[in-house]
Amino acid sequence: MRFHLALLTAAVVLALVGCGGNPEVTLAQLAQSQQDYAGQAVLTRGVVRHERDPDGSDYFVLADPHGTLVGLDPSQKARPFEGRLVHVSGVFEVKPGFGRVIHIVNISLVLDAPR
Amino acid sequence: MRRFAAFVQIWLLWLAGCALLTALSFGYVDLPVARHFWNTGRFLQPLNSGLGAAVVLSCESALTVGLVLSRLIRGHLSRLGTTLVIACLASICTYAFNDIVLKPWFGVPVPLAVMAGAAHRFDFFAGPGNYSFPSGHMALAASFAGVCMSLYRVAFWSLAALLVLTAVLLVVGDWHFVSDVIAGSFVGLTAGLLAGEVWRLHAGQRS
Repeated sequence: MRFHLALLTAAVVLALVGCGGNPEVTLAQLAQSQQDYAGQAVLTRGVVRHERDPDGSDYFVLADPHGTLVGLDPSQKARPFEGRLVHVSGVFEVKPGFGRVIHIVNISLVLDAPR
Repeated sequence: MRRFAAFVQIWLLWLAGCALLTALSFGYVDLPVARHFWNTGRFLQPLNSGLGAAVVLSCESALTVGLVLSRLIRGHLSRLGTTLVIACLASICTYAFNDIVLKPWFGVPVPLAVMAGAAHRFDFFAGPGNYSFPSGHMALAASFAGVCMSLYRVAFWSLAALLVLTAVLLVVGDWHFVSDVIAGSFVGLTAGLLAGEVWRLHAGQRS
């Protein structure tokens, strides 16, 4: 059962992200209608920013020029792109104590963007 | 006994005042102030490496161990040394209590999470996580200062000014909400002043 569910999720993600069927959304759109996008595969872009709270916990977030944020999970996938403009695809979620998060499926540089 | 009752009354009044201020700040001040400083306060982020909790706690632990060793070797410790040891121990204990007990009790998300869409609200007895209220750094600093204020009365106003500066930096640097630092100050000063007074009583009984 679990295997079939994983297969189905992979197929949906591949269909939406890989085949270009998933239109890109902005971080502002994700922030404005976060409940509508919850649980869905999304494709978005932004600058990867490293945040650290005073207790020492590290986070990587995707930010737009207006300061709209979405957390990136797992951090290991986001770390190499710190400070760079990237495309991110993955499953969007809103966690009660953490806010908006994208569970990264694919992350890549926006090649035509200046550093 | 009468002095103790007066202390308790003053503390209860202070608790009521802080609770009122915290509630007002939580409802009306926290979010506008956090949004105002969200991007402008980023220049303070490098302070995170130098003044993170791990660094401050390590320095306090090292200072405490050094002074205790000095006491063991030389047979005595100066008044300043004693004050520093008590202040370090009080602030380490207060930070631990705040981080392990109080923060999960209240369950308020950190400013970063709120800026990323989490609700700014109390989620009492939340599970393990990263919470903001009360501020651990403020509790740490206020507890240290409380001991010093109690045992070095002349330093009261300069320490109070340093605490205000710490509170402002924590808010402007996007690390905490205003209500976090008010509550953290209360927790820290309560622990610090109590530790200082207990030491004063203990030292008075010995001499």
